[in-house]
Amino acid sequence: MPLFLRLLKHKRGAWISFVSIYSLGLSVFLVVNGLAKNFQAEIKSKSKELLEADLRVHARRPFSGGEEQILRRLIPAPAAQAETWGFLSMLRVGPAKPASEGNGIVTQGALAPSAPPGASRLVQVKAISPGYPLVGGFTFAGTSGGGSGRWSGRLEDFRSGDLLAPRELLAGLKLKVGDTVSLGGKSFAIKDEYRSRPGGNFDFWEMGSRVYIPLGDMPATGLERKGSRIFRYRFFMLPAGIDVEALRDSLDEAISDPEVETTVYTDSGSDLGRSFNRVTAFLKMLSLSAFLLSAVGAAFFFRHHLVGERKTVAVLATLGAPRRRIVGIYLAQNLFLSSLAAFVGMALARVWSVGLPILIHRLYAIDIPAALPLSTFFLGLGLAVCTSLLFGVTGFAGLGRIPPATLIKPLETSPLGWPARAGLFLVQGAFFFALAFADSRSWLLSALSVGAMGGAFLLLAVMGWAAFKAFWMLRSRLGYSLRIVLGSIKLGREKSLLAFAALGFVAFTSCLVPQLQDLILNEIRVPKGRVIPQLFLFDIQEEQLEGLQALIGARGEALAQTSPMVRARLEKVNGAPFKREEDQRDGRKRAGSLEQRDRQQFRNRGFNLSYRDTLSDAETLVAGAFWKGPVPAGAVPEISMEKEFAKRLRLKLGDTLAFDVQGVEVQGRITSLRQVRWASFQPNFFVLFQPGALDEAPKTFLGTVKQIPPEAAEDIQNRVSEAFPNVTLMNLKDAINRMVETLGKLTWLVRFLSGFALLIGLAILWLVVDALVAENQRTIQLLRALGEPRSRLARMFLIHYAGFCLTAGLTGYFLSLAGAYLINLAVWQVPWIPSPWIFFICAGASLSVGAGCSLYAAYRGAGRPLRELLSMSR
Amino acid sequence: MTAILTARNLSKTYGTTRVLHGLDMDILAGESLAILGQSGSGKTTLLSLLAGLESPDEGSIRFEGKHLGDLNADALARLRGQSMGIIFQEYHLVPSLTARENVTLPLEILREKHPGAKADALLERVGLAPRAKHYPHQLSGGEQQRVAIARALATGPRLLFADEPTGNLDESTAQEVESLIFSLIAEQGLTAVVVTHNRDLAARCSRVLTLHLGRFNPPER
Repeated sequence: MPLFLRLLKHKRGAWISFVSIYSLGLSVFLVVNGLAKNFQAEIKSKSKELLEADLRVHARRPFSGGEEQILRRLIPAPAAQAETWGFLSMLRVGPAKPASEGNGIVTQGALAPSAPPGASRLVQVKAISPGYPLVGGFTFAGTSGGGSGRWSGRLEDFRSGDLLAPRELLAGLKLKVGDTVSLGGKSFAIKDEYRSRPGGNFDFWEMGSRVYIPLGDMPATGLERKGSRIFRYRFFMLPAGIDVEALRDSLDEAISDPEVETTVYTDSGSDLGRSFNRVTAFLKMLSLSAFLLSAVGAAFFFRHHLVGERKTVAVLATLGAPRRRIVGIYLAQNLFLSSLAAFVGMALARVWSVGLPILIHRLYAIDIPAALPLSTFFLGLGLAVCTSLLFGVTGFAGLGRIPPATLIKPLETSPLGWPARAGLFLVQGAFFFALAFADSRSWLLSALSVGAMGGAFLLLAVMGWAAFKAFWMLRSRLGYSLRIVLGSIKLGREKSLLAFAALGFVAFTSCLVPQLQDLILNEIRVPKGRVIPQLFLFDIQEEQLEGLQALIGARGEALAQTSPMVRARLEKVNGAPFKREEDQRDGRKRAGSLEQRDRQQFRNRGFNLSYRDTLSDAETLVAGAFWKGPVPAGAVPEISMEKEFAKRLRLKLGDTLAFDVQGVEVQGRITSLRQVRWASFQPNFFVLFQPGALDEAPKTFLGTVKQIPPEAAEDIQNRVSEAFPNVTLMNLKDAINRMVETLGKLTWLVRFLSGFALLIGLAILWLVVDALVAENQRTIQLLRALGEPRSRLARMFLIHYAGFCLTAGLTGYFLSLAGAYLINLAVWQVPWIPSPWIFFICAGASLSVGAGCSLYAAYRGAGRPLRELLSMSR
Repeated sequence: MTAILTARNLSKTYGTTRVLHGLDMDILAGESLAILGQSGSGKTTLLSLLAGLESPDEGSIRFEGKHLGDLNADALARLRGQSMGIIFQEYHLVPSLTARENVTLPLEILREKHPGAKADALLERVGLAPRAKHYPHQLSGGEQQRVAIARALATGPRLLFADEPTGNLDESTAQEVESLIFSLIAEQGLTAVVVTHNRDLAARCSRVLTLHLGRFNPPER
């Protein structure tokens, strides 16, 4: 057996501590990375199915003649193609009323409370052309036709007047296959109940169930009107051998309007992938923090092992071993242990990889292959070895400096000075930052997570030290047991500090997650005393305003906060083209980092402009002055912009903007910046124009109906959707509840991963307690020999560990409070009172952990025979 | 003289090794008894039984008439704290406490009032008053043992045990410490049991018992 192993053989405590902590952290990191990779691979392998084509072009407006020509010119024949339109609308139970009674033309009949209207629901309509879907297909409940259960993929049997709906919608409205429903002015028979649909069933933020109708029925519905929010999708299957990405780039270049988006199946950022990237990026950061915690813990135990080996090192040096050989021995030990930890970590990751997909399937109904890719195992091995070496450098560097004289007089100071340690700390931080960025592709997320992790750890260590110093100053006034406790903390200060920081870090992350959840819920939930609208109405045509007001008025309510909305595109800023300038800044078209992609997407979106003469009660002026009255003849109209929006677009007061409003250029100058409370759920806009500038522009209106009982809201919803089928209504309470539910599902995963960090923190604590008890063994035995009863020893342990854990836990809690406060200040700025429950749970859990440690310490410490104090035990 | 401690038929086995074989002995009040023996003779095991640090497998020990076997762990601890003092070969000072705090420790355990004054007097007596605020690692071996002696005497024990008290010290320091121990025994009229393999140290005691392979040689009468 080589010397490095022989020297390690009997250090069971050291290698068990190292391997158990390190492998646990590594396993979490590997399983999240592996499953994320699996998920991306799954998306990639099914990318055509998810995109429903080789190439998709879509816009939130009809394609212009020029764009149609470009598509015909650039897309090679023979390409199979299909088209869908997607939009939100109200689905009503029962047949559509004749045009004279509804369909937007308000008559006395619609106003009079005659027979109760059919129930209605907000749905996402997909109007599909013949030939859809090009890839994939539906799975049906098998209730229509021959009950084959599988649609052909070509909807030959799907004819005018047919509608496909999912089970939850049919169940919610008590409908069955064959029943009649209506969308706009057209009746539809429910053709079948689908179980799965082309492109996959999953949509994170879907506002309503998805129903399918034939595209040819769109005119009959009367839902396509000016300002309607309808997305047009064109799908293409290309002939073999076509370079889809080159084609995408050519289309992007030929179609100048950024509102027209081209996506090909190879784009990793397909809809599902993109929305999931954010979630997985966050989960990866959580797993990284668990790994960091474990790396710090493992490195500590290895350093502790090296400190214990100083005498051996001195002996080896005395016997003539050169420094390089000595360092080599311990490097080999480190490599051996980290490789061992990597293999154990991989085995553990394999175990978690069976359980985690089950949890994900239960929460999101997404199937992720459980087997981890081979690359994950190589990543694990490389990462384990490199991280361990990097974190162990402090110990190795010190080894060569241990003088043989250590055999005679123990070395009391660390062989490495603090500047070298600080430098190493920075290198370790940079390493984790690189790891975080490689993982998340987000500068912001990487900086925030590594900064928060490192900062929290440092801050906790400093706070722990400060707390200890405060107690130490009171030392002379304390009883002997507390003095002994403080003394043992001082003697084992590195261990105590690590345990304090680890426990505090775990408390910090465990408390921060519910605090942030609380804050987000605060943002979307309606606080007591604040009234938000019950119904939100959009797509209202100008000529429908009067009739709609009359209809709602007849039910004893009012249509309030009606706001015009004009679709526009920002063309120029201070005379310079907006898009070109931004593209140059980014340097390339397809952005690399998450932030770049966000910016590009944000920049390319269309604008919803509005105008009004006063600020709403959800708005606060933060810079400049708000206009008084309409724009004077010949003057440049004033613009008020939401401050965060202006910041993201790098716009400032005084900038002149030129918008393209359906082919007409409208100019304006930014004269004020506003802060908007978006959670007011009022019609709020990023860009407001001075009245008079957009009066003639094609527009739709938004409006709200105030908080009313659910039955009255349902009644108004049904009547409005019957009389004005093109108007879409959103029940805010339902929407908020759905958001809360989705958020709840997300936080489950976050909590699941935080659980691992908790486990690692507790493992570190346990190992530290074990080491401290071993170090204080003689003191404990001595106290017993001097007459200390076991009950008082137990109390001493309780004071020590419960006090220690409580202080660490509460420090972590208050740090999480500060973190949540700062995040709120930066992101939401909502009034927030921290939940006292989190405090009590944290305090209770910390005390329980402390009590557990005391029991363990009492069991370990007080159970040793006293004769060990005597000379025969040597 | 009356016996302060009596032991009858003491036997102790560790694993399969029988260390003590049915020992009988009396420790008389005021005497200083040396238990002499080579390594492995069982002398430290005997001391750990006499001081109540562990229980015999067979036999009984009575201290001032109290049967140690009848006492539970806490009562035994209280008895040790109130009536016995122990000096260890390896000093066993609490590393996180100063010399003075180490001496006050047993007094604080017994909840005595003003432990500091007594500790100061003892430190003065062992010649370490100037080093009262020093921590164990700042003291030499001899100094640490003198602190340990002061600690063993702090509660005014009636029976003092010393386990190889000079085993870790150089010759001249060992002699200083021996002298200190015996002068304190004499000053305070203590009963003392000294376990040692050092014949010179044993010779300074009023009585010597030699232990060989777990038996007295010759047997105690």
